[in-house]
Amino acid sequence: MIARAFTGDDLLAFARLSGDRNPLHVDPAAARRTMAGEQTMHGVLGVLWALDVALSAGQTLSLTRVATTFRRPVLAGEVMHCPAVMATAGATTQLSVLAEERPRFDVTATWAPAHALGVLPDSAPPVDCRELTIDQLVGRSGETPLYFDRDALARLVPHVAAGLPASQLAFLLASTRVIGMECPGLHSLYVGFDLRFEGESYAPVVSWRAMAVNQKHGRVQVELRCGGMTGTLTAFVRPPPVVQASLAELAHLVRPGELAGARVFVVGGSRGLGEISAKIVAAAGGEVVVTFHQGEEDAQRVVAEIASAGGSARAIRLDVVQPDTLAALGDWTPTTLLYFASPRIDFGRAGAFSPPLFRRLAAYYVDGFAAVRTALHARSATPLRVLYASSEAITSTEPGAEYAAAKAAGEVVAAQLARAFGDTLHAPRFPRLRTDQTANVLSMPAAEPAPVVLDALRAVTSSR
Amino acid sequence: MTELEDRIRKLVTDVVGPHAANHPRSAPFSQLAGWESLNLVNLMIALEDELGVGFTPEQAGELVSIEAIARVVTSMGAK
Repeated sequence: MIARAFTGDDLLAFARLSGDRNPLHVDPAAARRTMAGEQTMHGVLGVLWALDVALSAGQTLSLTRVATTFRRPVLAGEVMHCPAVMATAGATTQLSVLAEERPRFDVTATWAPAHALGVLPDSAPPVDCRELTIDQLVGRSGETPLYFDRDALARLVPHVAAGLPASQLAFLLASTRVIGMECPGLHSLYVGFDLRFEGESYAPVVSWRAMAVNQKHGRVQVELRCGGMTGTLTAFVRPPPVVQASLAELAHLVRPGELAGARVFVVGGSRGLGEISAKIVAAAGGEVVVTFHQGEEDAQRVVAEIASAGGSARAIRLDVVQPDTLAALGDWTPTTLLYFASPRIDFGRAGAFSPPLFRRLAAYYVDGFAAVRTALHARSATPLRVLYASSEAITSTEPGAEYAAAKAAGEVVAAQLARAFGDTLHAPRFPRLRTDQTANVLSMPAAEPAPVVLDALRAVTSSR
Repeated sequence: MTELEDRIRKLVTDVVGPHAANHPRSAPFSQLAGWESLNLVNLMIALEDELGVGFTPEQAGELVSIEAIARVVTSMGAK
């Protein structure tokens, strides 16, 4: 097996040369609010790497067909494994690329003798990333120029850059640019393509057209044409970042002054349950400090919304997996700790247990909580009211033992620290709630978080 | 295995891959190598197109095996 990981810088380089600058691939803060939860490799870059492996003996060939199914995203920095295969003219290679022992994408490539490598323009003006709904894709069509910077691609996948015709590589690159920037654009999830190459003819522009739009499930098939090169691309429109209830809406749920005097430290308050909690506390008269790790812009938006309503809030940066004395709090001492910090939530394979996945989740749900509570205790020994956000997943029969185990361990640690420090602890096992982390193309039902969070807040702030 | 289950199995194989051809009818799809949530959406689209049904989001959560899909589809009155 051949191994390779593409870094965030590699993805930026590929975004420049392909024209697919979708934030999912180039903006870690924006990517964290997508279904993938982190900066994600362009699927086409992965395919090019697999083809690069097949051409690693330095062959010069052409393609008559390349097809792929993207099964699961590959994150920036994630190590892929590809079998060592050798491409030869007339043969078809089939590859399955894995990462963390899970299939990520399959590639079927049919090879033919080389033809002229060709030269194309190496760039084109960038296009805007369109934000479109599935309904807006009906009848959508357009053109994109065919271009290819061989030197830039060679820095990422040298054998492919040297061994395949420019027109074919440019067509591959055009496919990710169309999906990622035009159709569906901003909220795209590229799930596969089937490209065919007949002869050597090509045109200066690639025409594309949304052919089959399934509005119920958000899936679109896009037809691509450029001379003798044709293709069918398949993508979904994924859900956008979840917009939580505004402070004005949440204010109707609380009694004025209900939490007057409360000083509430919301760890993980830039979005989701932390965001809702912060707004509820502020609406009920409490002071709020929220923490963020990567979501500074989101956290400051929450603070600004609270401030504009006359509330008291500020945001501090905190990475719960790194040592932190919480000096940024200054002289401010909380009465209440709400712990919502979470990494990207991932569920392991059914019937298996992944220690690395458990450790990644536990770093936030166990280690991170313990570190924060201990750091607060070092600043002041006064007991706190503590809300530890646990999950119904602990008793679920669904796959995801690693997540359930990490949450269960977090409950144990929270309870032990509460006994040691004299805290009042409430560790509700939340059901599936509507947040970025539960958004998916399946539209699985998820409860509105505000009433659930409010009940939990009342339980922790009123209990003795 | 009923005729309906045969049709469902073929669609599962089309969506997931040839290794699904012998997947036990009552075994959860999550036990299939490479099964991801996207497979379920693609399978639902294929089932809706093939069988002329329309699943609700709640029914989506019940489509966990060939046997379960057949049960849901039968309850919808589809053939």
